[in-house]
Amino acid sequence: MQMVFSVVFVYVFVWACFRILGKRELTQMSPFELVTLLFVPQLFSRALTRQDYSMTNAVIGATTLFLMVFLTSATAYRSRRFARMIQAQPTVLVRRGQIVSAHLDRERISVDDIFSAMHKVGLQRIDQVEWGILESDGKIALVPSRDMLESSPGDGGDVAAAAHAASLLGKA
Amino acid sequence: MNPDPNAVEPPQPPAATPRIALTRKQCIGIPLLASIPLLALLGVFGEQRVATRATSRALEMRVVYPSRFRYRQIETLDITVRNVSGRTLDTVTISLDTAYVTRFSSVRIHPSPGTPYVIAETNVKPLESRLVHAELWGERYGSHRGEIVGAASADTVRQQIRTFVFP
Repeated sequence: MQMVFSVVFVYVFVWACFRILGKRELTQMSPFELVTLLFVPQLFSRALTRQDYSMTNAVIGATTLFLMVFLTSATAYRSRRFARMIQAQPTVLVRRGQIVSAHLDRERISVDDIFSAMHKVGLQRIDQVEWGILESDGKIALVPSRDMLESSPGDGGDVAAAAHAASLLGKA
Repeated sequence: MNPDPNAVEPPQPPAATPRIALTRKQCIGIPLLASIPLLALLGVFGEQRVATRATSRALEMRVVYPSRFRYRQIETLDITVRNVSGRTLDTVTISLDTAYVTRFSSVRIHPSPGTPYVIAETNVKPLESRLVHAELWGERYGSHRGEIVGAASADTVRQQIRTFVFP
């Protein structure tokens, strides 16, 4: 019985910690953050097992954890309110070619991070971005500007970027 | 439809009514998965102790033993014998089943048995009780059965016990 409560507690505690840290930590972990993440199970393992090294205890702990994952996922899918509570909401980083500095500061995203994401989809200038959004999973999604998509073949280097961006939009 | 040029947020996804749909495997697996923590909450996989009592003409024996516990956990076995004969019994022997005791490791018995797993209590007065305490360390999985025998002269009292050690 103790094991079930312990796993539920640790699950909620670790979720709350990640929720407080922010979206960025989900995908972009610095070495320090990685060490922190590796420490978490080390710190909790003894408290969870309580010197009970039986397979029964391990199975109860693992099934409780899997069940918590499933219940959280199912409840978040059914309830938007719950989903908003447990999941980070997307944050607008670029709005019609303009960087939203306050949101960058809040999410600790540098302008370099945005440009890095732009380069990955073939965009060069910030005015080519209609929307730059930090998604719930910590990734930066970019929506090219309408001008970018409608650019003519005579625009040179931007053509490839526009085609790439258009293909990305098509996938979405 | 053209997006609002003055919008401060990107267009929101359309509203949809989400319904949980499970595959056949999930329909079987999720209840199975859920049953383990639920049974654990109900104490099915936890330690459980059982108290039993057996009597003969001269002896009353009460045994409190673990009916189930987990691998590498320590549980205690308590045997209390009481003289109900109305006369002093010179020697009362309490025998723990060797087949049962050897299924556990680091067995500690108090008072110490003179011969393996046989404890002799001497000069037991009328209505006097003597306690034998044993610590059992669950080393082998599965069900272990045995018998506790209390004897005074030709009078014996027997009690079957069964302990299940979870893996």
